[in-house]
Amino acid sequence: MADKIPHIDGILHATGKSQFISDMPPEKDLVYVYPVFSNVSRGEIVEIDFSESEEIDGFIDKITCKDIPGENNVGVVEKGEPVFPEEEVEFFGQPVCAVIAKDYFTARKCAKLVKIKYREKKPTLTIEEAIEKNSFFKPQLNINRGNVKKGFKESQFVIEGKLETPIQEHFYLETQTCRVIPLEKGFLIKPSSQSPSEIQEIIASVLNIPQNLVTVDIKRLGGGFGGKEHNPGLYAAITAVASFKVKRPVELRLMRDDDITATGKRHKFKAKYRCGFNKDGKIKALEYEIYSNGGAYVDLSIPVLERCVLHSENAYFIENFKLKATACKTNLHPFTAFRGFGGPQGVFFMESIIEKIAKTLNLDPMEIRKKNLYKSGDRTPYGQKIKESYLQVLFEKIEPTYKEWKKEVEEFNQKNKFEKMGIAITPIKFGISFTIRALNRGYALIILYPDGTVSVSHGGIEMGQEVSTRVAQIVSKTIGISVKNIHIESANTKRIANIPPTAASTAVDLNGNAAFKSAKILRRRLERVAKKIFKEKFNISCEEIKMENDICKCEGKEIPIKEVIERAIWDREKMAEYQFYKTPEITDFNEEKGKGHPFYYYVFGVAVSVVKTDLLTGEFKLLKTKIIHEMGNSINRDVDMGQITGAYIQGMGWLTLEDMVYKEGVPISISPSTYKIPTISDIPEVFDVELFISGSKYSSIFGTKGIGEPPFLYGESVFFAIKNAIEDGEKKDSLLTPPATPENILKAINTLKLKREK
Amino acid sequence: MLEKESLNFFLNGREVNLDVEKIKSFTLLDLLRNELHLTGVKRGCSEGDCGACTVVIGEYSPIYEKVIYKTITSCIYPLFKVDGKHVITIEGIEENGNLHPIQKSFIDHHAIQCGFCTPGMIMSLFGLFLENPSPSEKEITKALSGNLCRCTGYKTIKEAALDINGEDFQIPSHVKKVEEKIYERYNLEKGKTKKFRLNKIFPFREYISPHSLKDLFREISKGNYKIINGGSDLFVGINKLSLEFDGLIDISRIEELNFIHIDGKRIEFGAGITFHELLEKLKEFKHIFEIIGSNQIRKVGTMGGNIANGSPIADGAVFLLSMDAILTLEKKDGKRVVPLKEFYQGYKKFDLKEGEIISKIEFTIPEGKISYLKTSKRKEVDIASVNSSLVIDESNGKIRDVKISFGGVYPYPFRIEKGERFLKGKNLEEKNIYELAKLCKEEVAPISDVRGSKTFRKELVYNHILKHFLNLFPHIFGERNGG
Repeated sequence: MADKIPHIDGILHATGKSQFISDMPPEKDLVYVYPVFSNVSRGEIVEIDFSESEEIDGFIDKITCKDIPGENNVGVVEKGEPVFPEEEVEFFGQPVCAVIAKDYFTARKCAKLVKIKYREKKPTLTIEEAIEKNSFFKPQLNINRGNVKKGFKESQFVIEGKLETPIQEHFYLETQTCRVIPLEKGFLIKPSSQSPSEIQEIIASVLNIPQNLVTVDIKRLGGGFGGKEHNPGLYAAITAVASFKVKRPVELRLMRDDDITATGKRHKFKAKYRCGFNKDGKIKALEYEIYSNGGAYVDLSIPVLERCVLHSENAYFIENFKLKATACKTNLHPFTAFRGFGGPQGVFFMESIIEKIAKTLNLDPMEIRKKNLYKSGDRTPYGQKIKESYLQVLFEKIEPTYKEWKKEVEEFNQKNKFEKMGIAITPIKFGISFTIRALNRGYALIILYPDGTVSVSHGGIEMGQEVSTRVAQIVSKTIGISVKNIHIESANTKRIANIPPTAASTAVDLNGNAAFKSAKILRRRLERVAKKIFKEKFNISCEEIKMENDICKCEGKEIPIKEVIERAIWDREKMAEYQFYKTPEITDFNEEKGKGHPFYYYVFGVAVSVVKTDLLTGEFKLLKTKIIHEMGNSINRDVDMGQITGAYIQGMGWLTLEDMVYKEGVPISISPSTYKIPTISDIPEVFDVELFISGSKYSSIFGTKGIGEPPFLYGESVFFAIKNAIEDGEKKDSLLTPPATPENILKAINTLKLKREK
Repeated sequence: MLEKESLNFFLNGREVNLDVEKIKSFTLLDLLRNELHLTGVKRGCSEGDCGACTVVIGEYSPIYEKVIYKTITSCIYPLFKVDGKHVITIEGIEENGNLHPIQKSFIDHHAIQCGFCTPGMIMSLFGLFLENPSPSEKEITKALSGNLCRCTGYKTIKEAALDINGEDFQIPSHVKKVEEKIYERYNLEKGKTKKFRLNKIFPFREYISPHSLKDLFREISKGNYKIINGGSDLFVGINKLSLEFDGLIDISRIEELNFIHIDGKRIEFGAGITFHELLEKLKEFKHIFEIIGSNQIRKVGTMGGNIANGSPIADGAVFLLSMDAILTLEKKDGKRVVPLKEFYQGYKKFDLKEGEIISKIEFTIPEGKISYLKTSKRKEVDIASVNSSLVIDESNGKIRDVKISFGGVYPYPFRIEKGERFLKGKNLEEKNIYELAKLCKEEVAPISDVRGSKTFRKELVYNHILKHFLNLFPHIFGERNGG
């Protein structure tokens, strides 16, 4: 069913004509606002001195918390995250106030000259410090299935350990940007955001104006990855307060260094675990104590923690399971959504435990995995039934490659002392749906025009995942109008309102389904009119009308669809349709009971990676990758493949190259010269990706499944392959900690050496 | 002298004349985006590291004696450098409304997701194909290593690039048409110093571009003036508002600094030679020069700049140290010669007097074998944690001579002479190498920073020594030693 349909805006992008916010022609009188960021991690604000910046030619005005006409809050899950703090700054990089100037350069220069005095306080920076001070966000999450005590007693082996995952910077190519334009009544907001309705609500409250006077309009983002889910609210609010004050259009755009310093990233997680299993590798019991560093404000830390918890058993059935998870409040920038949303952290813990079991039993980790994989009908620790598991079939498919590559690895390692190859396999079972049930809703408005063209508005934000292309395809297939005649509109809160963020891999499921509903209704109307025309024109009574490639067909006769639309309008048929979709079956995850049916379905897949590691320099090279990714169906193979390869490389980056370095709470790897995301040279020479079309009925629109986040987890196989290479069949654990930078790899090699000497 | 009242260059085949007084931008990117409203070129990082702002510059090269094309990052390209040159942007590669084959290939291969990096990627390839109509896969990845994409995982980008047939590659007709005019301008301005007096909002008030050393020394004597060539380091600081000057003196046009002489093993080149030119002319060291910066940076960055920047980790300097390179330093009243290893005196401190510049670098390719290593978090376009270069002359298992240089482990690029003395005359055998590694590790004094801890760096010194010998003489480490 997958068609070869190019990116709907491919030509615009390839010719440089596509417009991101700062590419839009400047409005007359457009001015620029730039925040002044806190340079302490925690402290009382004693004095803000604008005098030097006020002297700069081009300075227009300044804004502080006193200029906020409404509520000083951008927190959504919980109030208390201010636009500008009134008394105390809570993290290094927090915007404290801002300056407005005639151009971007001057605004930055003025911001730099603002002097702020603080009475510094001792910050809480780490998870350990937070635990000591009892500094937590609520609620704590718990899962308790079976009886772990009994499970441990019955286990032949019990292991314990500590694990941690690193922070990751989104590094979307387009930094946080927003333009606000005052209208005769209200404001037009153009943010680079995944959450238009959230922005609308925040700005209405911050400016103290009704929500119907705030229009948010978003055409596209230059990358999001979760970094534009909650982060943009604060910057949109600053821009809006500036525009409110000077009554002119205002733009804000962060420089890269400030963006990395000030905005939220992927949470650092730590876990303590205890796992019981038998000598055949069958896991009997698993107990976790999980903590995340949530930063200064709660942001999305609780739902992120929840998804971690709901993926902390990954693809394995564990009879007795107990878990306690807590998000810590510290004085780092808030941590936020990032592709996978806690899932990758949970999966990393489980996969690390599997590797450790294999090491303990001296078995191939592949065997441990196979022994414990979910089967159809199994229930997760939180009680949701896995209606069908494709894990067994995926393992069968990938096993020959794994065996062949493993042999190559072993042969190489026999011959080499200073360089070692390594291999690892990572399966995935990723739940699709927002774990907050209320957010699982989609919208679409379709308008047909008499020249046969279509306008589609829907609730998904285009950020490169090509929700636009795919929604256009769904509409095209349903109405029979070709994609070239379909225009996907910007997301505009005046056309589509009360939208959940574009997140959780759900954009096509939710909005594609809504678009399908709208399109189906329009098609019925068109058919009714087409029947009339066939009768009048050709005197045939059509039972069934085929509609494709802009033409209606019946018994060998053809009528262009545009003619039908024209006639329908004349016949007073409604040629526009607004529809709504809500995901069925799901429930919220009950935080108290630790139970729920939060996911509509699961996505399955498996990845094998092979690396070569230099034991002297600690460098590695990713050599080969094979991924088999299960989908119910694919409507655009290229888009799906692009999501898989992009997510895999991003996942690899998270656990290997990308090293977010802080010095006493101050982010110091804040530019691409120090924070290294993968380049084209880091991708494997053998990069084999296969779509396994399962035809699963537990799927969404046209049998497709959410594709944005699940493949991120495949990247973990690279980390485990590096660990495998270093350990080269030894029984001892190198304790390699991610990210696998040369420094951490050498550290792990030394750990092994020490253990060997003992 | 040419007191320039207007900035004149060619943009996508058309002549542009801008009144210097009215210009508000100091980088090419800002001018293109903010003043000429060509927004296909994107701003990603403002430090030349993401490639979203990539454009191609056509300029006359006295080295190649023709108009050459350089792929550069416009966010750190000093605006006034474009005077007399041709700037080609994403808006200038379509012809008669037809997509360029590179653009078409990106669309066909679905090599586009969010689209923000796309114009830069395409321009990097456009620049590559202008130079080399049938690049290999490796040349393609090298050319694109300076362009970051966070969406695609690069697989489709690579496929799109590999699918561009050299025969399909079209050079837009305006490109050739402008070449003659560029050459004319070059001749017209030959021997003349160009001077731009700038608006007071600029972080520098003057931009001066002399054509001869004599004219340079006339300008150099005053105030807070900074000398740049490619400007690829300084403009990062200027963009970040951390630097201001009375003026900048651009030495990239100075004829005396733009030459390469190769006479057998004897290499002499002007300090204005770029890394790209070096790797083209000195093919045997291509693999070393190629790990410096990105393609875009190698097109503007010079060896002179790499040395005079004084970074303790400068890739070029570490290499040259092991070559026993000699610098010629010049100022108004004469020149002197200083060996590179005596040039450095402390962190960012060196033997360069007021008003003096590095004019020439020379070395003789030594007898024996050369090994160069760079360890960094990422293979491409990264600054090393530690880099090192080893030159060794050995015969029949006896070491006649050895030179060992390291970067990132001392306040400046550093020759470990104690290690060299130890090894000279010794037998080429495993235990001596381990001994040497230990000795070198003790000689260095690294610090901890964002690129690695002190302990890690010390360990790398030890391991680099082993690795160099493993690269050059695998047999001394026994059987299980190499593939």
